[in-house]
Amino acid sequence: MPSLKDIKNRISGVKNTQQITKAMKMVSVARLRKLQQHILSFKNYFNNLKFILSEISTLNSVSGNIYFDERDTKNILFIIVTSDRGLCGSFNLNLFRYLENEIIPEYRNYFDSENVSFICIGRKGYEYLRKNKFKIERNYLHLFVELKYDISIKLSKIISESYQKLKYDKVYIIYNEFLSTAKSTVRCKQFLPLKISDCTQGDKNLCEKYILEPDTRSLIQSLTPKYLSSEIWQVLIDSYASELSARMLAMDMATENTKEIIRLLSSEYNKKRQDSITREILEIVSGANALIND
Amino acid sequence: MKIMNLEIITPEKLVYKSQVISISIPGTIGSFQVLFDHAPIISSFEIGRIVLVDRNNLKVEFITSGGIIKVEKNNIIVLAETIEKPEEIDIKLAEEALREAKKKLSILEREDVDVDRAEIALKKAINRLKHSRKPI
Repeated sequence: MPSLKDIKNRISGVKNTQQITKAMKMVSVARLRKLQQHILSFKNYFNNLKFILSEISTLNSVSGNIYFDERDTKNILFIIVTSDRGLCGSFNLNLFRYLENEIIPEYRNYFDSENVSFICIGRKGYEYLRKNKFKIERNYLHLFVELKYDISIKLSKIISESYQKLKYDKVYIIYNEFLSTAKSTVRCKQFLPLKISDCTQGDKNLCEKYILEPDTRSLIQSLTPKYLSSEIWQVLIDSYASELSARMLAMDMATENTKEIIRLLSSEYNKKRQDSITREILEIVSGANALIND
Repeated sequence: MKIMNLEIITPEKLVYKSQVISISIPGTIGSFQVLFDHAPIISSFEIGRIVLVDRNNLKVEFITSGGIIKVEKNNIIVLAETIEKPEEIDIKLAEEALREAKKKLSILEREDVDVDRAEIALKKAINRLKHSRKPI
């Protein structure tokens, strides 16, 4: 049986926890709000870029471009985007489960013949992959502390260079897609080769509509790296937004939970206190009675 | 007044949004100027300086490391990964980049030096330094 003092200690302990979870929630809210502005202004850039790329690329003009051409798949690269820190509910777990239940069965052959490599963004993913002995090509930690666009330029350069050297024939990104503050889903997106359907509007001849300088091919050549970096950036900010909102929800729930625990504990404390008071009175009364009877 | 809508956008923010009278761009196959009723064009542009004249006839200058411009029906969209005003340029950082690039280029024999990339870095640094020192 815990004593009155024990319960009191526990209550103050839980209260401390509650303060921490509350603070963490507030931090996530603030960061998410800041990030949402980033997301909004980036959308403007991304959509325009996508639009221009789709205007100039036709089936004909992208054939022969290494970023668009499909080739026989021997080696696959997966980029998984997770968080560096925990306390964000099932954010990372969902992704690992998706990997186990969807990706591994689908690409079983490649996994069996060890033609699959990983690039990890975020510490949690790195720990998971290392524990399960997957081949980790590179890993990036603490990217989200200071999220700068340079990061995605660097990343996309590294990836597209090894793609050009035929190190991989397909590159996928697995990440949490941000749908709303309360909802995100795990998605596997094909990064390379670029899907023509994503970037072109079929075969219609748009080149006549615009003057193209220098020419279609060189334009596509200079646009694709920019497009790839922006794809990575899109994924990074999406994943970070989902992480923050997952943490926000988790911390909100934790705070609610501590409230409940505090309620239970204080009612136990009060009951016990009442008990001891009653017992004391009883003792006094029975003592007094004994005196009277004497 | 013959004015066009201009948006200069980077992945991180909307740098400039206003109405302009003209804009000069360091296009890949030569600098060009866009005025009212310009034919629709999509062009890439290189490291250099973008100068525009806003509706109050004031010159505004931007330093860029390349990007793409689209002009259609007097709406201009400029997309660039980096674009700064001359007064925003961090001279120290640019000088450091210049030194770094020069150092890389001076040891051409080494295999791990990507010459193309170092040259681009050099160009960017020179461009930044050149324009940071003479604001209009």
